[in-house]
Amino acid sequence: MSFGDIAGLWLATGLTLFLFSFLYRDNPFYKLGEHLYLGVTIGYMLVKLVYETWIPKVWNAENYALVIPPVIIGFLLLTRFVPKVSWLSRWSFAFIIGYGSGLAIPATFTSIILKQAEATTRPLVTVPTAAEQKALEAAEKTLADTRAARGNEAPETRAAEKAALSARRSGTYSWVRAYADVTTIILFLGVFSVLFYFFFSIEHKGPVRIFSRVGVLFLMIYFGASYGYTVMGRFALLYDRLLDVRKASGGDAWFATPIILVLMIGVLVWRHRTGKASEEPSH
Amino acid sequence: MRALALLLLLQAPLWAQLPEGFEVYDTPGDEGSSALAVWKALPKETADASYVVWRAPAKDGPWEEVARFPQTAGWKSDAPQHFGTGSGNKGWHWASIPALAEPGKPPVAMWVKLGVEGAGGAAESAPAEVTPVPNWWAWNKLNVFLFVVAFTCVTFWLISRARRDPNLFIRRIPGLDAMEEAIGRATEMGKPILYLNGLNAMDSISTIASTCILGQVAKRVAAYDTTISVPCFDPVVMGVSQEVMREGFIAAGRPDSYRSDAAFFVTSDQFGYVAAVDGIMIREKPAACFYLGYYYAESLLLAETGATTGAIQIAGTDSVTQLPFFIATCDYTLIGEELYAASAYLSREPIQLGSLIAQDWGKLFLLAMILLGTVVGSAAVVFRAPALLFLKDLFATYS
Amino acid sequence: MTTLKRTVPLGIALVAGLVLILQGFVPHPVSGKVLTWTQSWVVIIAGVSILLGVGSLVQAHATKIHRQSRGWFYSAVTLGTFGLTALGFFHPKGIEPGGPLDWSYQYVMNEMSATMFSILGFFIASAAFRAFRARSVEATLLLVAAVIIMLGQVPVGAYLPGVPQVATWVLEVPTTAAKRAIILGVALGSIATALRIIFGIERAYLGGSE
Repeated sequence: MSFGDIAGLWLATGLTLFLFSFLYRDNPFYKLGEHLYLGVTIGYMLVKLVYETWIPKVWNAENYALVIPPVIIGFLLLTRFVPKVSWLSRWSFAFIIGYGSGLAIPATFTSIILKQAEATTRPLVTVPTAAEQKALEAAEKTLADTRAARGNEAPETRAAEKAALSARRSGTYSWVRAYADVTTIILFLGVFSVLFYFFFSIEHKGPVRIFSRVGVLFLMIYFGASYGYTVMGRFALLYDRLLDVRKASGGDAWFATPIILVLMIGVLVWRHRTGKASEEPSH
Repeated sequence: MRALALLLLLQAPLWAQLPEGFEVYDTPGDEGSSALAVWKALPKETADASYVVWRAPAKDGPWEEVARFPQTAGWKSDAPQHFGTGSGNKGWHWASIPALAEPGKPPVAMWVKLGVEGAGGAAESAPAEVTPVPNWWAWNKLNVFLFVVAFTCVTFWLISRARRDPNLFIRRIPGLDAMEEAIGRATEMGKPILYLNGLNAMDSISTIASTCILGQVAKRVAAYDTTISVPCFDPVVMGVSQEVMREGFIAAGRPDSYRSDAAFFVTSDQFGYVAAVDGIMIREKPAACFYLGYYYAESLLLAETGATTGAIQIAGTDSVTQLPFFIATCDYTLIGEELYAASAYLSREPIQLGSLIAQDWGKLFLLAMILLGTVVGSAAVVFRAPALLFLKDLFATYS
Repeated sequence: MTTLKRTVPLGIALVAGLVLILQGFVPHPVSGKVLTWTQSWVVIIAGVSILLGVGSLVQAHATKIHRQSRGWFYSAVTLGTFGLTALGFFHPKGIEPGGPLDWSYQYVMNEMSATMFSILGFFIASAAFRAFRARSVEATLLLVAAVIIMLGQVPVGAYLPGVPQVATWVLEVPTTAAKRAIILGVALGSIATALRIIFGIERAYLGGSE
């Protein structure tokens, strides 16, 4: 590892431990980490924008006529520093807000409303189609024929039995079909009741109250399930991060983790003893 | 030998028979990038025989193959984006032919011919001429356009009705009623209110809605003479926040109490922002934290820190993935569209309430259409009447 | 003056909004060009707007340092690291790998982002302990759904009869239904809000009347 890498590793490990110290309480290490982080992000963002937007899209633009309007709109924003003319920034706000609103309307409609409505509009009951019924008849006939020709125990008969069973599932109103239909109905009820809950101009009284309460129950299941779904992923993130900190505790990292940790704890204990820590708010 | 030749002669036309109704036309509602060819299915079609479509810049070639598929594929009914879901599509094939002109360049005419190739021989149709041109209107998005127009009209009509009769009923939204309480509590405690606009830029509708709510909050903050702090993720959002707060303070009759540094820029780095805002929370211990707008994974980092400081927390987001975390950590959460209703609800102005009721009408229309579609769809299945399925076209999305 | 301060911005929002709505229905290449232009405009405006952010930040921290108010030292840290990072612009390698900016991205921003993100591992547990107390039917439902899904995700869950199936069902049916309804409502709400903005019904962003 080069000196730059070792320095980087020490900095990274130190800052990581500084940020983790937030879990204990606010302290000078967290404050230092936080403010340093802030400064670096803004400096980095500024330079990145210069390299990725200003130089290629403005300075080296193919057609300056197309670049001048946004640059003017952008600089109008800077009038906010001059209170007398700061109202000019509203022109830029108006453009950005108008642009966002206009863009959202057709896009939201096609990509969300129609798609979701289409997905919800499903037949609540399904019955076997003519083709499925025909297939069932054919399968039953094959089974009967095979049975007559080969007897009950032959492997061909077993295969035909299997085929007839699956044809019966789709060719009659079976439990499988009923389960699928119930699922569709619950889905439909869920969408309806939750949307009903959101009505603003209807008082939640009587039947409306009951129906929208069903909606609330659906919402609660969603919130719980969605929370539960995320938990493991978040634990994995934490685990990975702690592994990184452990990696930085070896000799090749010049024992960054233990040294920084001992120094931090020492300072925190000293501050606690001398009463300086009480100046800081705790959680 | 003669007999064999006769047999071949008799068979060849059977295999290489050309379909009827071959027609080529410009694709409607496109940017001029393609043309469509349609033809009627042959009476006898097999998977081993193919349809082939060629295009050429002139009537006599050079010909270039642009489509080839088995006779049992390429049905008009598979392409509702061009032909809808009508029953007239049955028994018709189609193919899309890319235009010769580059996108954005002037249209160029081209010649298209259809061929049939099978084990028994091949045949080609006479070439047909077509010029793919850019169109000015996407007819396949007519349903969207009509809805947007109707929704706008209904909104304006409801607004004018609300002006005439301002006594509109709007159900209680506890989270919004709690905002007032929270502001009052902040005043009593002499502590600030923290207001976050979410992590999207100013062109996002969630952020726009959030700044509108900030305007209403600022009015109350001014009236109660308490302090508010708005750390921003985006410089433009900061500017707009300053403007809406100024408006709020002026409306409350206290323009002198307005301080432009109440809204300030933090950083546009997701976790840098979180680190800084969490720091602000534990140091300033706000009496109330409002999180309104669009949030990502940081939602829980913010709201859980806020919860440990003992602040009253009110969140509102349309970010469906982050709602559960706000529900778990906040006292009140505005779910989804309640975020968009909030500013109208808090303002109590008839114009705003009118447009809020329009939102309900939109929902009612949508529910009615879904219900109708479901009932008709179920009936179509039970009574085996596929003709009823034309309703599907209403919800079709062809983008 | 009111014209310049109110009417002009209202007009700008109206025109920008209507042009972009119509753009969605016009397949002609001209419409595509309008979209590409406006999108690149927004990028450039955002590029310039950072100056507004940096100005606000420097002003705030410089004032703190100047007044020697509480925590002014940390403000100096922010301004110092900001200046130092921004100086990286003059390095011949710029933001390319091997340059100082890439170094600070790799060892500061990336690491600190990952650390803040990982704190979610603690918070997701602490928030759950506080929130998931079965105090009502709703809260119980929340808890039960969360537990089932969590069990469905861990290896142990696979040994419990029925759990993986129930977890899948919960995710596919009631969860999908609620999510779909929320999304539909949000979509309508955002269209209503967008219309309010375009037609100037909501104009708080235009600030004070004077």
